[in-house]
Parts: sequence; C-alpha cells; structure tokens
Amino acid sequence: VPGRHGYAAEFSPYLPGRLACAAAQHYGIAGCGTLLILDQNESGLRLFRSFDWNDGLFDVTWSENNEHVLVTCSGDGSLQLWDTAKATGPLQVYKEHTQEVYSVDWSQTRGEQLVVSGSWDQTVKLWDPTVGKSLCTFRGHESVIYSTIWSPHIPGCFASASGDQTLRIWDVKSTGVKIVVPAHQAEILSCDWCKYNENLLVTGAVDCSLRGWDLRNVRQPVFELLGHTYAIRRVKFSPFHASVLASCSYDFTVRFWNFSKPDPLLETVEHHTEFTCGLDLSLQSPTQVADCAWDETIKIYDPACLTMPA
Amino acid sequence: MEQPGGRSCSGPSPAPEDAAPASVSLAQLLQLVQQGRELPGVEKRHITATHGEPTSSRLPRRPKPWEAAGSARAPAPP
Repeated sequence: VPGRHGYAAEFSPYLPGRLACAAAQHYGIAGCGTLLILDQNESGLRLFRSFDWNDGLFDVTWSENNEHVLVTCSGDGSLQLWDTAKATGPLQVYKEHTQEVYSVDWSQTRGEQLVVSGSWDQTVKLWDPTVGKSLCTFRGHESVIYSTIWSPHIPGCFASASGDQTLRIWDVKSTGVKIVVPAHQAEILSCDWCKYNENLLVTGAVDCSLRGWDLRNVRQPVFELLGHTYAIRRVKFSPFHASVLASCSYDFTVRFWNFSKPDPLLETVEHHTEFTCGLDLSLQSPTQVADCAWDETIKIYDPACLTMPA
Repeated sequence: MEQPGGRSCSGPSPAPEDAAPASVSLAQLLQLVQQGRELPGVEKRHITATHGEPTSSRLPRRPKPWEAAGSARAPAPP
C-alpha cells in the first residue's frame, strides 16, 4: 500500500481470511492514518474497504460480539470505532488520552465487552464501546505504554508493557496495579498471554530478547529466547500450540519459537525490507500468519514450521 | 500529533532508502522535521464521527481454539 506504513494487523475472529491493518502515513511521524480491511481469496489479498483518519493509526482490535466492528487508536490520542459494513466512518471517536495511543485490545472473555487502551501519556484506560467516556484510568507506569492486552482466561485481567521496563498486571476491579514485573533492562514494546496457561506471559523488548513470565513467581523468567538482532516490536502466542509463539522485529524478520524445545528457534522469515511492526496468528488456520511492515506491504503466509507436525 | 520530533523510535534508523518513488525515507523525513520544513504529500483530513449505530451482527461468536480444546485452564507445558 503505497505511502502507508503498517503498524498492526489482526485477523477477524469471525470471518476466515479477513484481516484488518492499521497504518500511518510517513512512518507515523506526521500525516493521516488508514484502516485497511482485506479479504483473502484464491488469488491473494483484496482490499474490501479502507477508512482514513486524521492522524496515524497504531493498533487495531476486532470486536468480539459483532463481525462488522473494530476499534483503532491514533497518534492524536483518540480511539475510533468502525463498522466495515458502512462506507464511511468512524461511528464513534473517544478522545481522552493526551498523547499517542499505541495499543488497543477488545476483551476476549465472554460476558463483557470492554476495550483497554495504552498511551504514551503513561495511562491505561478502560472503555465500554457503547459509552462515550472511559470507565476507568489506570496509573502507575512511569513511561510510555506500548502494549495493553487482555488475559484470554481471567475475566477483567489485563497486562501492560512499558518504556519504564516493567510488565504490569491489572484487574479492572481496582485502579491500583496487581503485579509489577521488572522484566527487562530496556523498554518493553510488546507482551502477550499464553492461550493454554493462564499464568504465563511473554515480553518482547528493545534488548532483542523475549522472556516468559509465570505470574506465580515473577522473580526470574521461565524462558528467554534470543536470536533477534534488533528490538522486538510485537510478540504473539499461538492460538493453537501451547508453547509456540511468534515475534517480529526491527531486524526486519519474523521468528517462530517453541519455548519447550532445547533449540527453541523454529524458523526465521525474512520477507520484509523495513521494520516489521504488525503480526497476528490466524484463529481459524493453525498454519496462517499475517504481518505488516514499514516497507508498505502486508503479507499473509503459512510458514513451514507451522505446517509441519509439532 | 503534538510533537513530530518527540517520537521515540526504539531501534536504529533503517539504512536502505525506500525504493518506491511515492515514499520518502525515514531518514529524509526526520531531517525535514528537524529543519521545521513541511513534509511532502502530508494528507490532511477532517474526519469526524458519524454517531451511527453499528450494523447488526448476524454471525454467532466462534469459540477460540483454546476453548474448543475443552479445558480453558490447561496445565503448564512440560
């Protein structure tokens, strides 16, 4: 997509082959943003619809209760609610953060429809998309927040990763943090929860390492994965394999790991020519991966390591 | 965006220039910003919310792969 630098990609939880990509003009430094809705068919990726926003878009999350709805977040400090079935949008804009919002996530546990946002203003905010004002603001981080992710198992529980070098665990029932993990001696750009172990998370940091953390004992990591040669921009646990995860980096690669193996690096994919920022693993296909990068491309592929039996 | 120069790019600037003619390289952009000059082709928008209602959902929620596995609280991997 010429002139747009991809920041985030997310597969739809409803529609196989549908992918949303949040992008910014000029690497996100200035200019507008675009939300791209793509559909995959036999001949490749087709643009279903795109929506522009006034500032760069840095993250995207699909609704868990409506296949048409998604939320993005922007350099102007606001969140946007979009409807893919409408030609223009957004439906709603939520403006409270005072600096860039780098992360949004829609809750995955049933019975609640909540969105969490993480900002460079050092706060996390909780939103009900049907309400115009945030429900709650969480303070504690001492630097920019790069990632905020709901637990897939524990309702109301989410994690945040920050430039203050900590991973923090929160519960919506109180504004004070539950657990602070000094996970790295560098900024932490990404975190994710294991889908098969409710106590396990992974962090990815500027020190080029991935570390696994068991919330029952956070004094030392339960694994460390080395191999990337520049900062890790995003990490995601596999929806299908308990010990498999994927990471993308400023070293332009995407790497796949199985932390239960003595030699955990499964595969390195080098198909981008710029910082790779967006990464997602399909919820419908155990082998499919999407990524996007500042080389203005979005790719969907099936890496060899996932197509082979575990 | 309040401070174009304030973004912390947590990693080195890419060395190779972007080949596509429609794009400006990151290094060139940062130079323009530092010089206080206008960035080429910055597309300004004035988009606002429509305040419409979302299109009704017709699809049932799909279980996640880890939910379909039966136990949502699987033991820690070996």
